Amino acid sequence: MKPFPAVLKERRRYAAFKFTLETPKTDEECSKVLSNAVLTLIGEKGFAEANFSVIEIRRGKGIVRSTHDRLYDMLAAMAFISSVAGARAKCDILCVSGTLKTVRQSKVFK
Amino acid sequence: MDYYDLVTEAPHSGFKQSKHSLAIRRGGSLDENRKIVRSKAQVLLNPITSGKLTVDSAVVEIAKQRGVAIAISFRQFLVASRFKRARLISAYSKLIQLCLKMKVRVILVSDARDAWEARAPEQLIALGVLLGLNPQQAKWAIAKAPAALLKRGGGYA
Repeated sequence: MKPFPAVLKERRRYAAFKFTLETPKTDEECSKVLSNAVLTLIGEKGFAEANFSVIEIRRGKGIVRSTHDRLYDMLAAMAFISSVAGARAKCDILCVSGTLKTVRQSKVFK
Repeated sequence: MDYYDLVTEAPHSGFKQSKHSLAIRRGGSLDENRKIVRSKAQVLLNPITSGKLTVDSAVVEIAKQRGVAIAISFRQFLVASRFKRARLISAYSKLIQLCLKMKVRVILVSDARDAWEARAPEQLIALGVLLGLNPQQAKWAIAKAPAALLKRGGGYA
Protein backbone atom coordinates (compact mmCIF):
# COMPACT_ATOMS: atom_id res chain seq x y z
CA MET A 1 0.00 0.00 0.00
CA LYS A 2 1.27 3.42 -0.89
CA PRO A 3 1.78 5.78 2.07
CA PHE A 4 -0.06 8.63 0.31
CA PRO A 5 -1.80 8.25 -3.07
CA ALA A 6 -0.26 10.40 -5.79
CA VAL A 7 -3.69 11.52 -6.95
CA LEU A 8 -4.28 13.22 -3.59
CA LYS A 9 -1.01 15.13 -3.71
CA GLU A 10 -1.43 18.87 -3.66
CA ARG A 11 -0.34 20.94 -6.62
CA ARG A 12 2.15 23.55 -5.52
CA ARG A 13 2.92 26.99 -6.82
CA TYR A 14 6.11 28.89 -6.13
CA ALA A 15 6.25 32.68 -6.36
CA ALA A 16 9.39 34.78 -6.42
CA PHE A 17 9.09 38.12 -4.69
CA LYS A 18 11.14 41.18 -3.97
CA PHE A 19 10.78 43.64 -1.09
CA THR A 20 11.27 47.33 -1.76
CA LEU A 21 12.05 49.07 1.52
CA GLU A 22 12.35 52.69 2.56
CA THR A 23 15.02 51.83 5.13
CA PRO A 24 16.98 48.54 5.25
CA LYS A 25 15.44 45.76 7.32
CA THR A 26 16.56 42.23 8.09
CA ASP A 27 15.33 39.23 6.13
CA GLU A 28 13.77 37.78 9.29
CA GLU A 29 11.60 40.86 9.68
CA CYS A 30 10.50 40.66 6.03
CA SER A 31 9.71 36.95 6.37
CA LYS A 32 7.65 37.56 9.51
CA VAL A 33 5.67 40.37 7.85
CA LEU A 34 5.02 38.13 4.85
CA SER A 35 3.66 35.27 6.96
CA ASN A 36 1.57 37.65 9.09
CA ALA A 37 0.06 39.27 5.98
CA VAL A 38 -1.07 35.91 4.59
CA LEU A 39 -2.34 34.80 8.02
CA THR A 40 -4.27 38.05 8.42
CA LEU A 41 -5.98 37.83 5.05
CA ILE A 42 -6.88 34.16 4.78
CA GLY A 43 -6.96 33.19 8.46
CA GLU A 44 -5.58 30.15 10.22
CA LYS A 45 -7.67 27.62 8.31
CA GLY A 46 -6.77 29.20 4.98
CA PHE A 47 -3.14 29.35 6.02
CA ALA A 48 -3.23 25.62 6.74
CA GLU A 49 -5.01 24.85 3.46
CA ALA A 50 -2.59 27.02 1.52
CA ASN A 51 0.37 25.16 3.04
CA PHE A 52 2.14 28.49 2.94
CA SER A 53 5.84 28.70 3.65
CA VAL A 54 8.74 31.01 2.91
CA ILE A 55 11.21 28.78 1.08
CA GLU A 56 14.09 31.21 1.04
CA ILE A 57 14.78 34.91 1.46
CA ARG A 58 18.03 36.73 0.88
CA ARG A 59 18.55 40.50 0.70
CA GLY A 60 14.82 41.12 0.34
CA LYS A 61 14.42 38.65 -2.52
CA GLY A 62 12.93 35.24 -2.01
CA ILE A 63 10.51 32.46 -2.86
CA VAL A 64 7.24 31.48 -1.19
CA ARG A 65 5.12 28.38 -1.68
CA SER A 66 1.39 27.72 -1.61
CA THR A 67 -1.10 25.32 -3.11
CA HIS A 68 -2.38 26.11 -6.59
CA ASP A 69 -5.93 26.90 -5.47
CA ARG A 70 -4.74 29.41 -2.85
CA LEU A 71 -2.24 31.17 -5.10
CA TYR A 72 -4.28 34.32 -5.69
CA ASP A 73 -5.07 34.64 -1.99
CA MET A 74 -1.35 34.57 -1.29
CA LEU A 75 -0.59 37.13 -4.02
CA ALA A 76 -3.33 39.45 -2.73
CA ALA A 77 -2.00 39.15 0.81
CA MET A 78 1.48 40.04 -0.40
CA ALA A 79 0.05 43.05 -2.22
CA PHE A 80 -1.48 44.35 1.02
CA ILE A 81 1.94 44.69 2.66
CA SER A 82 2.63 48.39 3.14
CA SER A 83 5.20 48.49 5.92
CA VAL A 84 7.95 46.40 7.48
CA ALA A 85 8.88 47.22 11.10
CA GLY A 86 7.67 50.80 10.77
CA ALA A 87 9.30 51.53 7.42
CA ARG A 88 7.29 51.94 4.23
CA ALA A 89 7.59 48.89 2.03
CA LYS A 90 6.03 46.98 -0.81
CA CYS A 91 6.35 43.41 -1.97
CA ASP A 92 6.45 42.86 -5.73
CA ILE A 93 5.81 39.52 -7.42
CA LEU A 94 8.57 38.60 -9.86
CA CYS A 95 7.31 35.30 -11.26
CA VAL A 96 5.09 32.33 -10.47
CA SER A 97 5.81 28.75 -11.41
CA GLY A 98 4.99 25.16 -10.55
CA THR A 99 8.55 24.11 -9.83
CA LEU A 100 11.30 25.60 -7.72
CA LYS A 101 13.83 25.01 -10.46
CA THR A 102 11.96 27.21 -12.94
CA VAL A 103 11.59 30.02 -10.42
CA ARG A 104 15.29 29.92 -9.54
CA GLN A 105 16.29 29.90 -13.20
CA SER A 106 14.00 32.76 -14.22
CA LYS A 107 15.77 35.92 -15.35
CA VAL A 108 13.81 38.22 -13.08
CA PHE A 109 14.83 36.28 -9.98
CA LYS A 110 18.57 36.04 -10.70
CA MET B 1 -2.04 59.11 -29.78
CA ASP B 2 -5.03 60.98 -28.44
CA TYR B 3 -4.74 62.95 -25.27
CA TYR B 4 -7.22 62.16 -22.54
CA ASP B 5 -7.78 64.50 -19.69
CA LEU B 6 -8.58 62.46 -16.59
CA VAL B 7 -10.96 64.41 -14.42
CA THR B 8 -11.81 63.35 -10.89
CA GLU B 9 -14.29 65.56 -9.12
CA ALA B 10 -16.55 65.44 -6.13
CA PRO B 11 -20.15 64.47 -6.89
CA HIS B 12 -22.56 67.28 -7.87
CA SER B 13 -19.79 69.74 -8.77
CA GLY B 14 -20.11 71.51 -12.09
CA PHE B 15 -18.47 69.45 -14.80
CA LYS B 16 -18.02 70.33 -18.47
CA GLN B 17 -17.00 67.42 -20.60
CA SER B 18 -14.65 68.14 -23.46
CA LYS B 19 -14.15 65.96 -26.50
CA HIS B 20 -11.15 64.06 -25.17
CA SER B 21 -11.96 63.94 -21.52
CA LEU B 22 -12.89 60.93 -19.46
CA ALA B 23 -15.26 61.73 -16.65
CA ILE B 24 -14.34 59.79 -13.52
CA ARG B 25 -16.31 60.49 -10.38
CA ARG B 26 -15.80 59.19 -6.89
CA GLY B 27 -18.80 57.55 -5.33
CA GLY B 28 -20.09 57.80 -1.80
CA SER B 29 -23.56 57.24 -0.45
CA LEU B 30 -26.35 55.46 -2.31
CA ASP B 31 -27.91 58.75 -3.45
CA GLU B 32 -24.57 60.08 -4.66
CA ASN B 33 -23.88 56.90 -6.61
CA ARG B 34 -27.34 57.08 -8.18
CA LYS B 35 -26.80 60.71 -9.22
CA ILE B 36 -23.36 59.93 -10.64
CA VAL B 37 -24.56 57.07 -12.86
CA ARG B 38 -27.39 59.31 -14.10
CA SER B 39 -24.96 62.14 -14.90
CA LYS B 40 -22.50 62.32 -17.78
CA ALA B 41 -19.86 60.44 -15.82
CA GLN B 42 -18.25 57.51 -17.61
CA VAL B 43 -16.61 55.88 -14.62
CA LEU B 44 -17.91 55.54 -11.08
CA LEU B 45 -14.81 55.20 -8.91
CA ASN B 46 -15.05 53.56 -5.46
CA PRO B 47 -18.83 53.38 -5.07
CA ILE B 48 -18.33 51.86 -1.61
CA THR B 49 -16.34 53.89 0.89
CA SER B 50 -17.46 52.91 4.37
CA GLY B 51 -17.84 49.15 4.12
CA LYS B 52 -21.61 49.38 3.72
CA LEU B 53 -23.09 48.26 0.43
CA THR B 54 -24.04 51.64 -1.02
CA VAL B 55 -24.91 50.28 -4.45
CA ASP B 56 -28.15 48.52 -5.25
CA SER B 57 -29.39 46.73 -8.33
CA ALA B 58 -31.09 49.95 -9.56
CA VAL B 59 -27.75 51.79 -9.64
CA VAL B 60 -26.08 48.91 -11.49
CA GLU B 61 -28.99 48.71 -13.93
CA ILE B 62 -28.72 52.45 -14.70
CA ALA B 63 -24.94 52.06 -15.07
CA LYS B 64 -25.54 49.31 -17.60
CA GLN B 65 -28.03 51.37 -19.59
CA ARG B 66 -25.77 54.43 -19.67
CA GLY B 67 -22.50 52.53 -20.23
CA VAL B 68 -20.94 53.66 -16.97
CA ALA B 69 -18.07 51.49 -15.78
CA ILE B 70 -17.53 50.76 -12.10
CA ALA B 71 -13.93 51.19 -10.98
CA ILE B 72 -12.44 49.71 -7.83
CA SER B 73 -9.18 51.12 -6.52
CA PHE B 74 -6.56 49.03 -4.78
CA ARG B 75 -5.56 51.97 -2.61
CA GLN B 76 -8.84 51.85 -0.74
CA PHE B 77 -7.97 48.36 0.52
CA LEU B 78 -4.33 49.23 1.14
CA VAL B 79 -4.92 52.17 3.48
CA ALA B 80 -7.84 50.56 5.33
CA SER B 81 -7.48 48.97 8.75
CA ARG B 82 -7.90 45.19 9.09
CA PHE B 83 -11.54 45.41 10.14
CA LYS B 84 -12.48 47.95 7.48
CA ARG B 85 -10.64 45.93 4.84
CA ALA B 86 -12.72 42.88 5.73
CA ARG B 87 -15.90 44.96 5.41
CA LEU B 88 -14.74 46.38 2.09
CA ILE B 89 -13.93 42.92 0.70
CA SER B 90 -17.38 41.73 1.74
CA ALA B 91 -19.21 44.70 0.22
CA TYR B 92 -17.21 44.74 -3.01
CA SER B 93 -17.70 40.97 -3.45
CA LYS B 94 -21.46 41.58 -3.48
CA LEU B 95 -21.03 44.48 -5.90
CA ILE B 96 -18.94 42.32 -8.24
CA GLN B 97 -21.65 39.63 -8.16
CA LEU B 98 -24.19 42.27 -9.17
CA CYS B 99 -21.95 43.63 -11.93
CA LEU B 100 -21.32 40.16 -13.35
CA LYS B 101 -25.04 39.39 -13.33
CA MET B 102 -25.96 42.70 -14.99
CA LYS B 103 -22.92 42.63 -17.31
CA VAL B 104 -21.60 46.00 -16.20
CA ARG B 105 -17.96 46.71 -16.93
CA VAL B 106 -15.66 46.50 -13.89
CA ILE B 107 -12.29 48.24 -13.84
CA LEU B 108 -9.47 47.61 -11.37
CA VAL B 109 -7.10 50.51 -10.74
CA SER B 110 -4.28 51.11 -8.29
CA ASP B 111 -5.18 54.80 -7.65
CA ALA B 112 -1.67 55.20 -6.24
CA ARG B 113 -0.69 58.57 -4.76
CA ASP B 114 3.02 57.70 -4.72
CA ALA B 115 5.40 54.93 -5.76
CA TRP B 116 4.87 53.03 -2.49
CA GLU B 117 1.21 52.51 -3.28
CA ALA B 118 1.76 51.38 -6.87
CA ARG B 119 1.27 47.66 -7.43
CA ALA B 120 2.08 45.24 -10.23
CA PRO B 121 -0.72 44.06 -12.57
CA GLU B 122 -0.49 40.54 -11.10
CA GLN B 123 -1.36 41.93 -7.70
CA LEU B 124 -4.35 43.84 -9.06
CA ILE B 125 -5.46 40.60 -10.72
CA ALA B 126 -5.10 38.87 -7.36
CA LEU B 127 -7.35 41.53 -5.80
CA GLY B 128 -9.93 40.92 -8.54
CA VAL B 129 -9.86 37.18 -7.88
CA LEU B 130 -10.19 37.85 -4.15
CA LEU B 131 -13.32 39.90 -4.85
CA GLY B 132 -14.95 37.20 -6.96
CA LEU B 133 -13.75 37.64 -10.55
CA ASN B 134 -12.04 34.76 -12.28
CA PRO B 135 -8.45 35.36 -13.49
CA GLN B 136 -9.55 36.04 -17.09
CA GLN B 137 -12.16 38.57 -15.98
CA ALA B 138 -9.61 40.21 -13.67
CA LYS B 139 -7.12 40.52 -16.53
CA TRP B 140 -9.87 42.03 -18.66
CA ALA B 141 -10.68 44.47 -15.86
CA ILE B 142 -7.15 45.88 -15.72
CA ALA B 143 -6.34 45.88 -19.44
CA LYS B 144 -9.14 45.62 -21.98
CA ALA B 145 -11.95 47.33 -20.10
CA PRO B 146 -10.12 50.67 -19.54
CA ALA B 147 -8.71 50.55 -23.08
CA ALA B 148 -12.19 50.08 -24.55
CA LEU B 149 -13.47 52.93 -22.43
CA LEU B 150 -10.77 55.28 -23.73
CA LYS B 151 -11.24 54.13 -27.31
CA ARG B 152 -15.00 54.40 -27.46
CA GLY B 153 -15.48 57.23 -25.02
CA GLY B 154 -17.56 55.33 -22.52
CA GLY B 155 -19.55 53.10 -24.89
CA TYR B 156 -19.68 49.35 -24.70
CA ALA B 157 -16.72 47.37 -26.00
